[in-house]
Amino acid sequence: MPIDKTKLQRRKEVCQALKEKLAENLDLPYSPDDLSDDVSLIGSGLGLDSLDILEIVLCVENNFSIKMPEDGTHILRSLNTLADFIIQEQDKQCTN
Amino acid sequence: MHELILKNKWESLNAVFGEISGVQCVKNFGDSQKEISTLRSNAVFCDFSFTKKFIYDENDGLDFLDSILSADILKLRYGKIANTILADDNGNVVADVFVADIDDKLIVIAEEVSEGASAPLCSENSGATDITTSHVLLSVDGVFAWKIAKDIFGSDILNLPFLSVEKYDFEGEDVYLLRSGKTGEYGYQFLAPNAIAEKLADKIIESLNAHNGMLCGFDTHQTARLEGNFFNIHAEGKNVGCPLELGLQWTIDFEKESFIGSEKIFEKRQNGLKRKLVGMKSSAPISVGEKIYDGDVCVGEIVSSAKSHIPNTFLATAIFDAEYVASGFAYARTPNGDEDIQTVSRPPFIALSLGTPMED
Repeated sequence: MPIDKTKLQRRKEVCQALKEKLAENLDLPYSPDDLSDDVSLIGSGLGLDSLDILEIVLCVENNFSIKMPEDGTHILRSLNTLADFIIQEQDKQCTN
Repeated sequence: MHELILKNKWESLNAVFGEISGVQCVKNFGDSQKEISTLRSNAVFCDFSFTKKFIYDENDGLDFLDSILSADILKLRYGKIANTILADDNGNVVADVFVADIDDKLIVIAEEVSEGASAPLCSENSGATDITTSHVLLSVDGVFAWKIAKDIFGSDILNLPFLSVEKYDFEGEDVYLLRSGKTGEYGYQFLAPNAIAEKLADKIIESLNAHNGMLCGFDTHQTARLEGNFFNIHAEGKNVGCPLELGLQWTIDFEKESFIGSEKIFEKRQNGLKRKLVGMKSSAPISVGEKIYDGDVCVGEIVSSAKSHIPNTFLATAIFDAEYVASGFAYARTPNGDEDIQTVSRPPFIALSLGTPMED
């Protein structure tokens, strides 16, 4: 059975919005299209520091209306793992 | 084929040998699954001497390397390491390169896609000293890798941040310790002259045994790269080529005027990407070259694969039609077949090192 194109579109929209917000808020030297979905946020990849991480948390909470957990390091491993969390939280909000 | 300096030692410990870019390497020590599990739960020791290694005088080396590599090398600070790429004139990645700045020198460690591909790093006017055959590169990786580095050089190593380098003395010789690695766990690489290679290896093995670690081959590191969301030039790098499709934009400074292959890379960036790399997983074995289907439409092809340390899990990367690049969707490996493989966010598991701090 072919994949659900509506769901695919939603995932792509969340990733794109995330890239645009992060590129803008972190003043990254890359355009949103330069950020691959799996780019690492900490360490290798974008190599963001603890201040940047704080900025990401604020960016996600303000733009996606969700609360990030205090110990969310595992969520911040890559752009994709962050998108997973956002979609999961948005789905929870819809269910509630 | 150039043989490893420590070949006899590894042979006596039952190593299975292979070859990477014309240089001998240890593939495994007989049990790759145990090796990858030990990397994830403890520590492993691997001979990385198959890599190309060069030293440059810092003043001239900065300008030279900046002129050929994709990153802004001029921004590299003392004691730090930059991970970047060397491309060819067609804009395809031909070497995965680490540049370390220390001691008025630049140390370059490169894994090349094929024999001779990294030749521009040591071209006639480069000022490079090729230390590929005069030095070994020994790598200790794992959630407790820091214990081994600490046993050898003391508690000072606990202050070494990721992508940093420090010089230590071992048996009267300089050894450069690079905190790097591509596994997702703690990683330390020892760059040492051949004269002390055997003694250093013995010391590492002694410490490894004390901490229940084990020897591993490069097969384990190839799996770890796939698990840990790290670029592997010998797998997807070799099969895809384009650094943009591989998601390596972060290794490139798009503000630079030029570097080898920059014209083609900038042109591809301007035109937009039609294909992108995506992570995949399945409970069934995955083979490089397999096609991926959405219904009867071919949407991608597997370019790297390995059996994960996670039970019943096979991981892969595939080069996908950009329209289909999204995590969490199930696909088939035959037209209209069973959807037994799915796209996955990378890294697909949480490395223990992420939540296991080193001791104070």
